[in-house]
Amino acid sequence: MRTKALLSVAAIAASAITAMAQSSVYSLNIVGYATVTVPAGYSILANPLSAGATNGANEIGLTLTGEQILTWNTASSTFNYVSYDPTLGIGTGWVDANLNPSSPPSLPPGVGFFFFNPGATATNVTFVGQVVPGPSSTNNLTVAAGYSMIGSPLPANVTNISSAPVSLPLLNGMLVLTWDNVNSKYVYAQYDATLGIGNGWVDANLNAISAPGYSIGQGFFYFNPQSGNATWSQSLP
Amino acid sequence: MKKLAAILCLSALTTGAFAQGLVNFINSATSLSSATIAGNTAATSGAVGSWYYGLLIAAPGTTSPSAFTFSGVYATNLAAAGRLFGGNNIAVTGWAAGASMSYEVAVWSSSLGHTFQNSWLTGTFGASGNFGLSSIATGTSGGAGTPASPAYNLFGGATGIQSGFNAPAVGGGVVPEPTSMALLGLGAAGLLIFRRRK
Repeated sequence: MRTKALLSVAAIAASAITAMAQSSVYSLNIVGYATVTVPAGYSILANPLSAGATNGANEIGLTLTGEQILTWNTASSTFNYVSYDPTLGIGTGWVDANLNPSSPPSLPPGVGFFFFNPGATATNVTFVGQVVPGPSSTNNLTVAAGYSMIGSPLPANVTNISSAPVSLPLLNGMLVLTWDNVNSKYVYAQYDATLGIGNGWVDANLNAISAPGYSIGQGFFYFNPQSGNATWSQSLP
Repeated sequence: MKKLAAILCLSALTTGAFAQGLVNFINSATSLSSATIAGNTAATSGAVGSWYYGLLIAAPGTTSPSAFTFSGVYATNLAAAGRLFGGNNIAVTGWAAGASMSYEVAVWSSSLGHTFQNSWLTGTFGASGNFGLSSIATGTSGGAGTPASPAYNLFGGATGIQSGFNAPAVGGGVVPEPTSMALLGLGAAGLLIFRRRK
């Protein structure tokens, strides 16, 4: 995914924490925005900010006629499909795969989703909300066994997805599937230190690769090889 | 042992590439179909079932409309003028999951019949009605990998059909030429003369 992230969160966080140190502020909400460039066609996105009680799909800040949002149903291993097209004259414009009236899905931080940009060129989507986790706290994201579509709740750009502050826990047998928008296919990265190959990260042909990176607003498929839930913990100082 | 398990796991990931490709067969507000010649804006409309659509596929790079093969996938018009819907997540025979193919969409009025006829691609029609083809696009079908990649959108996005398409009038039945009519008249007159003489 070709992503240009413009984030004011870090600056706001730094200034806010400084201000908190200089005055008697006992609670702090870091509010920011993130603008992500989304190419035409499919991309896997994840909301990097929490807008609270409002619906996640509206947090994208842009509704395009013909756009689609596909979330993953872990239990059935299928996509939940909604698209927005008011020109169909059906309900509010949100319809499911069978053109029945529907509603946009909730997309809180941590939930990944396919976004289909119906235009012929890239467009910007802007996320607005608060950083999760807040200062001096830890956010724990529960990831079910098997495949999940997720994204980092904490907005950050890193070259190694398991490095701080994104800190995706390393589990032998885990898979990270990012989406190649140009070639319309998944890019596989599996981690298994017991293979004895490179640093433990291998591609679909068991060739050694670097750990996958991560951009703000980017989502991916994650395979939890455990029989039970995994926990993705992130903290801010 | 774990290495073997990993290999088996990764092999399973690639088996989806041999399945039938998945597509979404619905057009957008910017790719309406028109029942008229190019330049007019009146869109196909009427009761659902007034218009039929068919998906035609060919090897990537095919440019001749008549070189495409009907995939067997149909659609019909929606109540919204110019719109069609053949379904989402449709498996297309002859289009493997994750494979790239060129494709075009045919539109015709129900007066031509429900079943697609290959002869239409070469301009032969057995009845009067409307027929047209979309522009040609090339894309990669969904359904590959585990989890399966999302269905490919035939319209919109980076590679789908972007523009509208037209369905001008075709056929019209057999109209006798003036010379044929004249010969017919002469024949009738001759028959009358023959009867009177008799």
